[in-house]
Amino acid sequence: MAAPPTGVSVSLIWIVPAVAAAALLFAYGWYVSLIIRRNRAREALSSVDVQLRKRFDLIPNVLKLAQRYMDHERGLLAEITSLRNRVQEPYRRQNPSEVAAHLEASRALEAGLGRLFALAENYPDLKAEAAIVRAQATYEEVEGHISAARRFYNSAVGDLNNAVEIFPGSVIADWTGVRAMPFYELDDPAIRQPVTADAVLR
Amino acid sequence: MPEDVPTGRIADRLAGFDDHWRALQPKLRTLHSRRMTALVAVEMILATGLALTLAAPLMMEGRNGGLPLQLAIPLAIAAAAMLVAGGIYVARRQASAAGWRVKLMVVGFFGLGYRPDASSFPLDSFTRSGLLPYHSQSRLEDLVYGEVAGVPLVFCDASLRRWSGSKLLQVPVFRGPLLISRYPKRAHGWTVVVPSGGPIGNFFEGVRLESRRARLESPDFERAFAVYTTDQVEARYLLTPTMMERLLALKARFPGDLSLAFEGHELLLALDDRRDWFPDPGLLQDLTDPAQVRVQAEEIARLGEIVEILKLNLESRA
Repeated sequence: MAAPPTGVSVSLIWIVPAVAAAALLFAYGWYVSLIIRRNRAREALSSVDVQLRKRFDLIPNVLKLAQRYMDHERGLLAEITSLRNRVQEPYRRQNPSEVAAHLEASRALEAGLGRLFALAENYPDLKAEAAIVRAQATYEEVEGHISAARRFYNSAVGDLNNAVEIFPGSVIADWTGVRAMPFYELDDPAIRQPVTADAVLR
Repeated sequence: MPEDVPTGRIADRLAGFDDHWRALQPKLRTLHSRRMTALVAVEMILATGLALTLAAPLMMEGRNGGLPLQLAIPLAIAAAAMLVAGGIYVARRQASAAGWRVKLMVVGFFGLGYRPDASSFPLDSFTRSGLLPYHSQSRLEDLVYGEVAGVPLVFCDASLRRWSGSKLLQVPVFRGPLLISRYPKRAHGWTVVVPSGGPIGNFFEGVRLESRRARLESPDFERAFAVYTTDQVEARYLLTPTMMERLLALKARFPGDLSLAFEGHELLLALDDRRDWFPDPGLLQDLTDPAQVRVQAEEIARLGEIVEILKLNLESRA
């Protein structure tokens, strides 16, 4: 006949499963929060794409107008067309490297368009064209929306990446395949240049 | 800096006000003398009425058919109280009538329009936006409208009350200005900026407003305000980092609970600072003295300051 269990072993019978259940619940809670954050980041990425779509729709008209006046900038116009095609290429939102490539192409397109409008200043006939004035105003508004979508996306990605990269989130994210997502950062070399008084006053 | 000292910008805006006021002297003198005549008449009628009312019981005492003194004295006191109340009412009407004429002249200096009755002000827009607390009674006055620095705006002074828990009296829930002005950007969704109430307060505010909170990048802004929106991207489009700095500057300049909402091309602003922005000039105030009406002029100049701090006159989308 087996000996009756002692007080210590009775406690262990209850404590071990209770701790395990608590750990499981905690892990599940963290997993749920990871999924919520990831979905929020994807939702924000969709918002970015919606705003980028507005920019794509604007580009053909701007290029058509620019071609009439900016003969010397054919290289830039071709580059913008090619960048636009690159940004339009489909990508998988669940793949961070594809998302990074997509955002990189968007940045390059933004820089290209910025250069185009800057160069347009050198073409008085183009600048005087009512359609380009309207296009530039629309472009500024669209850029304002893209910038807002970028801030929303970066905020959501910041939340996700903190949850994914900080222990124990890093372990749970590893098990469940939730990965950090890339930020959509401005890559304008001009804003990284040190400002000197000479340059400003020149 | 004490509130009653005009800032440099307000002083700039008031440049020429004294001359403007001096040019209005004939009108003001007429207004002032009419007011004084009416006041003297009220005082004389009051004094005579009071004397007769209080003397009547004594004169009637002992006469056949007269009221007994125990009844006559309380009746006389009640009649005297009614006379005094009537006198105060007439005097206040006089002060108010002169007040709105004075305000009309003050507002005219800034090229704005004025109406003492603000019942046409679209309070519903503010209520619909969730900017105002629940209220059972609203009193709107001092409607100022026109353009400040090229920005169309309409303003009024609001006082909102609701019944207390015991239903015995009405308690104030909002006192301060409401302003609607043009905003350079267009809002399609619904976005409001309300004072931050801490984690618990913000949670309940989110439940009240039935919308999601937008957490913005500036820690200072997040400490001062909470933003709720139906469109996270649009909230950030409307509230750029520059706009957030401007709102912090506005909050620093105008203490009180500052709330904003965006509706189409309009900015709705409510400031609960428990203050009457356009008090009527005092009954005995000399209306011909520019220094006596500067308070009203400074309040209008403050409106310009709101436009200037928020840079509502710029078409820039920053």
